[in-house]
Parts: sequence; C-alpha cells; structure tokens
Amino acid sequence: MSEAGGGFVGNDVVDLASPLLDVRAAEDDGTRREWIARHLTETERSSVLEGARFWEIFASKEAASKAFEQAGVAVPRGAFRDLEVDLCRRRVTHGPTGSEAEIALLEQNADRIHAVVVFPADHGCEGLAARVERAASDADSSQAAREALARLLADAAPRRGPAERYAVASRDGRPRVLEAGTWRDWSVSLSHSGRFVAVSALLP
Amino acid sequence: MAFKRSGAVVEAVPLEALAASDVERRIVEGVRKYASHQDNWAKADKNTPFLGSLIGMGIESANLVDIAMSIERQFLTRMTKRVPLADDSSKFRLEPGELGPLMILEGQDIHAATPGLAVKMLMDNGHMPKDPAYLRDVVSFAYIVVVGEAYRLNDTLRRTLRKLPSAADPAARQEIAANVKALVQQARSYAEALTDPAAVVRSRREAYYWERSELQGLEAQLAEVTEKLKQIALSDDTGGADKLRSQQVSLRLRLNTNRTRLRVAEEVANHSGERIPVEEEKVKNVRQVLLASVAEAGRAMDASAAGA
Repeated sequence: MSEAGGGFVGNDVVDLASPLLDVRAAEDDGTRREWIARHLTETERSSVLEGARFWEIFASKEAASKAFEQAGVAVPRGAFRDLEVDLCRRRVTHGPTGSEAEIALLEQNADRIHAVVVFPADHGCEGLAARVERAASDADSSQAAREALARLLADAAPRRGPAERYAVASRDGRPRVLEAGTWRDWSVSLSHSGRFVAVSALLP
Repeated sequence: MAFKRSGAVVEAVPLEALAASDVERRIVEGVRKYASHQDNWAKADKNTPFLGSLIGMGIESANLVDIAMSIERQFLTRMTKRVPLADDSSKFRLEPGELGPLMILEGQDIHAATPGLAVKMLMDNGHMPKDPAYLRDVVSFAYIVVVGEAYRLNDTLRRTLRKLPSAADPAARQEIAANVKALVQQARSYAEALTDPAAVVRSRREAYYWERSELQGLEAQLAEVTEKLKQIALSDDTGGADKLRSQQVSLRLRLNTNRTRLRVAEEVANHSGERIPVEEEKVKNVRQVLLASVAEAGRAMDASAAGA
C-alpha cells in the first residue's frame, strides 16, 4: 500500500524525433505492421493503424504497466497485449484480471508524447504531480530522470524542503524516494526517451 | 530465405546449422541499432544485459519487441507446426515441422535478458539442440537481476555521495548525509546477503513454496466460485451472480499476480543457490564495488562531520 492512499502512478515519454523511430520508419511495411501488431490488441488495431495515435496508446500502455506493477498486478516483460487502451474513456484495462487504470494525463506536441496513468481508475488525481524535461545531450538519462524527480517533489511540496533532501533509489525493483534519510512509500515513476525525461509522483 | 530490414537484406540461417556462439554473435549484432550505450554493446558478451546502461547495452524497454523480432528475422527453425491449445483455440504451441521462419511466442522471452539467455531460450523451446558446454557459463536470469540491482544501488550511493561536499548549507548537508547513511545501510545489507548462497537459496526456496501453496489455494477458490456462478446463472438471483462475478474478478487478479511471482520465484530458487563460477565472479565483483563505495562513504561522512 502506498502512502498516497492506495494509488499508484506510472508515466512514459516518447521522443517523436528519436533516431529509433527513424530506424523503424525505414523498415518495410510488413515488418512495421508486425511490430505494431505485437503491441496492440485486436480492438486497438481496428481503431488505429499507425502514426502518432499508436504512440499515444504505446505510452499509455508503458505508463499503465508501471502503475500496475507497483500495485502488484504483474505485467510480464513485453506483454503489451495484456493491456488494452481506450483513449476515449481514458482507461487502460489489464486483460487477465479486468483491472482498470485511468489515463490521468496524455499530452502531445510535435516533439513528444507523455502519458501518466493512475491505478486504480477511481483513485482520482489528488496529489498527482508530473512533468517532462529536456535532458542535456551528454546526460545519463537515468540519472537525469532521478534528478528531475527530486526537483518535481520539491516543487510539488515546497514546505518539505529543497530538491537536495531527496535521493531516488530502487528497492525491490521499483523506484523509491529517500527523504532526508527516511524511505518514503510514495508511488513515483521515471521515464526517458531520446531528448526527454519524464517523472510523476502521487504525494500524500 | 531473406528479409529486407532497414535497407539491408538479412539472410535467415537455419538454427540447426549454427553453433551456439554463432547464434549469440548474430543476436548481439542484430540489436546494435537499438543499443544506446555503444561502449557496453561493443564489449558485450553472452552475459551482458540488453537493458540498462550501467552494465547493459542501454536498450530501452520500448525496444523489447525489437529484440525478439531481430532474433526471429535472422533464423530458421523446424519448430513451425502450429498446434492449437486445448483451453484457448486462439493460442497455439509449436511442434517440429518444415523448416521455416522462427517464431518466438508471447511470454517465451520473459527471461531472455542477455544474449546468452536468448540462446538458452531458443534451446529450451526446441529451436536448436541443447549445448551444455555453451550453457555452462551463461549467468542465470536470477543473478542478472541480483547483480543489476547491486550496480544500480551502488550508482545511487555514489551519486548521492557526490552531492555532500557541494552542499554549502549545513541543514542541506545534514539531509544529504542522512540519505547517504540510509543508502550505506542498504548497500551493506545487500553485500551481506550476497555472501552466502546457501542462505540465499533457503530463503528463495521458502518464498517459492509459499508462493506455490498460495497459488494452489487461489486456484481452488476460483474453481469453486466459477462452479457456483454456473449454477446461479440458471436462477434469477442477479444480485448473487454479481457478487460472485466480483469475487471471480478479484480472484483472477490475485491469481495472475501469483502466477507471475511464482515463475520468477521458481527461476530464482532454481538458480540462486548453485552459483556457477561466472556467477560467483560477478557476485564477488559487485560486492567489492559496493563495499568500496561503503568505505568511501564512511570517509566522506567523517570528513563532512569534521568540517561541520
């Protein structure tokens, strides 16, 4: 159980100018179609062919898998089709269990897509904080994301103190926050893609 | 059989005609374009994780499917005959048939975290013969996880430590020092836990048996609720049916979670105790790294306290 009243957050950013997207764009149609098919359920495939809408679904799935994992709803590595995204209802459903999460934020511009998902779906967004930052070109993305999270926490809860009081580590395979020597059971999430890092937190 | 990929033509080769080390080399070459940490990719061996940039190739999780597809494109197999599964006709297993394109089924690559484990996956699923000599020094998934976590912990400790001298404000320095202390404690416990494989395997086996008995209990409960639902469906008791459906959803949720935990617990229990020499070496190295950081943290904390 997280300190944020039993809610769990996951987020994901996709850099739309990532060279890896170009790699995929250079592939033949068959390979591209197959790649997309491996990420989408039949229902999703019928509503989306490819392009930016695909990446909205993809980011929502990645974000949801992080929120579900923290709640103990296991999403095996690479099991994208266990999750089904309904962009109209802003819901992500975990197929094997029927559990639902809410797409709390889905923002897109020409450069990137950022999805933030909260589980369970009826948890609400109180205490939710999220942001995307551009990482320095020579930065270690993982470290840049951890530092961005410390800044987010300091901005979201200014009375607690500055960003320096936070360290972001990993315990039991999940990102965890240390605040001035105390492990906090806050649900937090880190993501990086190309030029961007994105972070989110559910604060009590 | 050739496939066009990124402008180049990839000639798929029958797995049965290749040595395990050749398959591994092709797998590593195939993921090059997804590796964001090219230095680690360039010196990758069979035990280099695909994901993560500290010791891994820096492939992002968004490219997990690319790893599987890259492997599929390069090889042909005789395991091509699709046999529908009895409990779900939309799913199938593969049996020996004509030589054809390799297909990695959903979930088969769950533990294929390194090139060596990817080769093992191909062997385990009958695409190529088992090669005990090759597998002898493939680090298990369990130890890839254990060692990877230790390096991440070390990285966090060192980076937090670096902030200590730069914090001019005494209050801020105190808070950073408190974080360092908590991380040192975690690093010490982790290093300690790594020393005794027998203790590790004991606790892992206990965890496995506990997970298994809980899973069996859940399966029995689910079967009972499903049976009751069948009976109540014939009656007009919609309230009772709704309640049972809700129970069914909740049980399925727990069952799914437990099944995955059981798979991981089983994998870890099977491998964490009997360390092969290469795992022993990796554990020894990462313990040294962790303990060196702990010692350095101790000196830095003393210096910081003296300067305060």
